[in-house]
Amino acid sequence: MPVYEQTYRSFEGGPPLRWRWRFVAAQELRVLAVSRVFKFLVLLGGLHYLFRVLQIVAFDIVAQDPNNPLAPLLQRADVFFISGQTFYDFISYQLTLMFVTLLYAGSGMICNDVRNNLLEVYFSKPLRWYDYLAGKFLALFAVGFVLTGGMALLLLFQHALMSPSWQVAEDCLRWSIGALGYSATAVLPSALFILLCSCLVTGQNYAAITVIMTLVANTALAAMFAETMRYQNWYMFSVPVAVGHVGEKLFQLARPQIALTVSWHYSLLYVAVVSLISLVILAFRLRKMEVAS
Amino acid sequence: MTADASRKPVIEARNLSKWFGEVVALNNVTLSVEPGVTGILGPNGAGKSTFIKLALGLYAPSRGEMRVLGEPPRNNRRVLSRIGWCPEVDHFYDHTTGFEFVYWLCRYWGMSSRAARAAAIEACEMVRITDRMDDPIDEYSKGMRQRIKIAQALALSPELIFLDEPMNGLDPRSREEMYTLIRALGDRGISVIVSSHILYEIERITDNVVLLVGGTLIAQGRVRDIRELIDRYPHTIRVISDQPVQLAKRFAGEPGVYAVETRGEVVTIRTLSPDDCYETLNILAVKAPGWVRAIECADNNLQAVFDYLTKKTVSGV
Amino acid sequence: MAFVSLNNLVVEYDDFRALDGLTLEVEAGAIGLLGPNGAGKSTLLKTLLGFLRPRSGTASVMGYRLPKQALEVRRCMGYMPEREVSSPRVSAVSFLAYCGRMFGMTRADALERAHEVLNYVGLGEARYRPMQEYSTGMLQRVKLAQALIHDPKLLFLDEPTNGLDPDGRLEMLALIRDIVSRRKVTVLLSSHLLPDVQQVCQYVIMLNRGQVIRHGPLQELIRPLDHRFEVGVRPGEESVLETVFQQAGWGFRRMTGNGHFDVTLPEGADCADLFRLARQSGVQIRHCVPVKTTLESVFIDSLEENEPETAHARV
Repeated sequence: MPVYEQTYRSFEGGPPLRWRWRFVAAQELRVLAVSRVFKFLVLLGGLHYLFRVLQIVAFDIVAQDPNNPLAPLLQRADVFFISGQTFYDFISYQLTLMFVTLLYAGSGMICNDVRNNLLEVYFSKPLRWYDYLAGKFLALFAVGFVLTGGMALLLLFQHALMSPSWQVAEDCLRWSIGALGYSATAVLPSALFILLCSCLVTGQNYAAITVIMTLVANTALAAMFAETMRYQNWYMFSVPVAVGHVGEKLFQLARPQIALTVSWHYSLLYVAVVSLISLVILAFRLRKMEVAS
Repeated sequence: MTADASRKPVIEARNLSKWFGEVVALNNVTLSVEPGVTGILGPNGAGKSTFIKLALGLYAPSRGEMRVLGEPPRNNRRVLSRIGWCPEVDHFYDHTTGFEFVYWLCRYWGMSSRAARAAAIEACEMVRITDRMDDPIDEYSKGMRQRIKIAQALALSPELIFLDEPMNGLDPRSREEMYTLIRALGDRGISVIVSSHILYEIERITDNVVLLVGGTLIAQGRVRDIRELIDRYPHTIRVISDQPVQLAKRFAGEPGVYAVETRGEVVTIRTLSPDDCYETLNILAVKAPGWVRAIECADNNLQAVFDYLTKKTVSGV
Repeated sequence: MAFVSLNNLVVEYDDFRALDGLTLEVEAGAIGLLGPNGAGKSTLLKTLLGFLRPRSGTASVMGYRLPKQALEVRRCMGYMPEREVSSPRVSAVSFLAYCGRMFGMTRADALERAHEVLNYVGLGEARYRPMQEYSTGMLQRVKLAQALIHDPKLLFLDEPTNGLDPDGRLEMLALIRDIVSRRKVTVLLSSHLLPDVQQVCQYVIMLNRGQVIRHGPLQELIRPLDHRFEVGVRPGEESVLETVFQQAGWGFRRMTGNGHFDVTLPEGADCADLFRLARQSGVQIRHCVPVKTTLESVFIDSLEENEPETAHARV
C-alpha cells in the first residue's frame, strides 16, 4: 500500500519557546472566526459602532457646516450631541452584547477540551498550565475588549479628528483613558468568571447557564440587601453596578445614574478582588487537571 | 454447547433491510442464528450494530422480517423479557451500587420488590461480583463494570443475551474470566451473541460466526467450514523442516501446488488441493522425521477467513 | 544510551504509593508495557512527562532529568492517549499544525509537516473536514499523527488499536512496526491485547502494584513446551484420534474454538511417533505445532506468583 512509502521529515527541535500562550490564543480566535454565530454577534456590535460613526459625522461635520441644509435640524436635536456621556453610553450598550459574545465564545473553552480529552494531548507537549490559561484568557479578553474599548477608542479618535476645536481633542484624550478603564473593568471579570465556570462545570451549556444564574443571583442579592437595609451602597456588591460606577467616575459624567455614595475606588477594588479570586481558583483547578490528564 | 438441531433458531431474518435516508445499513439479509454461542463480526459500518438493534426491537425493519425467539421483537414484551443486552457504552448513574443498579432495573421492568431483589442477587452471583455488589459503581474497575452490565442483562433469566464488545478495556486476567463466564453461560443453555472486532477473542469463545460486510451477509457457520468453502484462494500450509530446501523441491512439482516459499526453516506451500498435500506430508513425517517437524495451516483462522472474504484481492499471508 | 532510565523510583499519587521502587532501563526498540489496571502504567507515564514529582529515586529520559527538565523531555517524546481525542470544529490539518506550533515550528513548517505525517498515517482527503465527522479509525490515526509530528525519538502508545475494526488493527500494527524499524523510534506499547504486543514488541516489561515483576526479551518468555503439541486433523476424523489417544494412554484435551487437541507426548516419544500413530488409524494430521507459552499465560502466571492471595481458579 502506498501509505508506507511516504514518511515524515525529521525535526531537530528549535530553541526553547517563549510566550507559548500566543499559539493557544491564536488557535482559539481562529476557531471562533469560523463560527457563524460569533460572526453574527460581532456584526451586531459592528452595526452599533457604525451608527455611532454616523452620529459623530452628523455632529461634527454636518451640524457644523453652515451650508448644509440639515445643519439646523441636527443642531437642535439633542440626540446627536456628543459628550463624554455618549462614549459612556456606547460602551454601556456594547457591554450586554460583549457579555453574550464572551459567553458564547468562552463557556465551552475549557469544558469542551476536557470532554474531548484534549488536555492529555496539549499537556504532553511543551505547554504548561499557565500558557494554556493565559492563551484562553487573552483570546477572550481580546474579543471583549475590541467590542467595547477598542471600538470606543476608534470613535474617540474619529471624533478628535473630525471636530474643529482643540478642546475636544483634549477631552477625547481624557475620555480615552476612561474608555480603557471602563472597558477593562467590565471585560476582565467577565472573561475570568466565564473561564472559571467553563472549568468547573462539565458542559458548555451548563457553564453558560451557571454564569447567567450567578449574575442574576448576584444582582438580586445585592438589591435585596440594599432594600432591606435601606442602604443604597449595598448595590456596590452587584458586579455590573460596580463596573458602571467605575465607568461613570472615569468619564466624569455630570449626571451619574448610579447613586452610590462610596468612592469609585472601592468599586474598582471589589471588581479586582472578584477577578483575583476567579483567577486563583482557575489556577488551582488547571494545575490539578494538568496532572490528572 | 453444541447447536441443538431440534431447537428453533434464536434469530431469524428474512429479506431484512434497514435504511436511514439514503444509507442502507442492512441490505436484504437472510440469516438464522442457531442456539449456542455465536460471534458477529464485520468491519465498521457493516451493519452489525444495526442488526443487533433490530433484533432488540430498537429499530423496526424497513423491509423484510426479523424474528427473535419466534416472534418479531418490536414492542413485544413477551420476547423482550426473554432477551438481555449488554451494550458497549459505559455510563451509569453516579453513586449507585452495583446491586442497586441491577435491582432498580428489575423493578423498572415490572418485577415486584422481592422478586427483583432475588433476581439481582442471583445475577450478581452468576457474574461473581457478590462481594463488591454493595460498593458504588464509581469505584469499580473496568472489568467489574463490564460484569455488572452483564449482570443486568442476566437479571431477567433470559434465553438469549447480546454482548457488545464485552472485552473492551479489560486486562488479560479479566479477559480470561470473561471467556470463562461466556462459556459458562453457553453451557447453561443461554444463547449468547458476541459482537467484537478482536478476531482472536471470538475464536477463543466460539467456533460459530456470522460475518457481515457492507450490509450483507457474507458467511455464516464454523470457521473451518467457511474456509473449506472459499476455494478460490489456495490453502496456505506452513511446514517447519530441518531440510527446507529438499522439502520445497519435493513439493514444487506436485499437482495442485501453486507456490512454494522457503524462509529459514519455514516452508510455505500454497496449494489448491490441500488433501493431497497433507497426505504427502503425513507420509513424509513418518518416513523422514526431520523433514516435517511441525505443520500449520496458516489461513484456517478467523483473521485469514475475514481477510479473504472482505478483500477483493489477497493481500498476502 | 538508555532511552529511559529509572532507579528506585517512588511516586505517590493521592496518598497512594503508585510506583514503589521501580527500577528499569529501556533500550532502543519496541517494548511492551503490560500490567493489570492500576499497576502504575499511567502513573509511570505521567512521571515521565513531568507532571508528578517522585518522592524518591531518579528518572531520566534520553539523558534529561525529570522533573526538572520536563519540557525538554516533552519535546522529544510523543504520547498517544488511550481515550478518544477529538477537536470537533477544527480539521485534522489545522489541529496538527497547532500541535506543531507548540514545538516552535513556523506556521508554514507546521502545516507541511502536518500533511506529511497525515500521509504517513494514512488519512486522505478527510483531513480537510472538521473532526466531528470522523470515524473512530480516523480519529485514532490523527491521535497517532499528533504524537509523531515533532519526530520524537521515544513514543508512548496507550492502547493504539482501541476501537479499530480488524483491518484497522492490522494497519495500525503495521504502522507501529514501520515506525520502529524504519524510523528507529523507541516505542513503549501499553496494551491489554497481548497477541498484538507479541506481534510488535521484542522486549516486554510487566508491572504490578508499582513494581516490575517480570521483564525480558520476548523470545525468552515465549518458549515451546516440551512434549506438548497442538494437533488438528482432517474434518470428521476427530473422534478417531480421540480414541487413538485414549488407547495409547496419552494425556490430551480438546481445545475450544478450533477443536484441536492439546496432547502431551510421553517421555521418549516425539513428533514422528505422533504421525505414525495417526497414520496407523488412517487419520490425516493437518496441524501439528509445538505448544508455546503465550504471552497471556506468562503474564497471568507472573501475576499469580506476585499475588498469591488473589489467585483465581481457572477453568
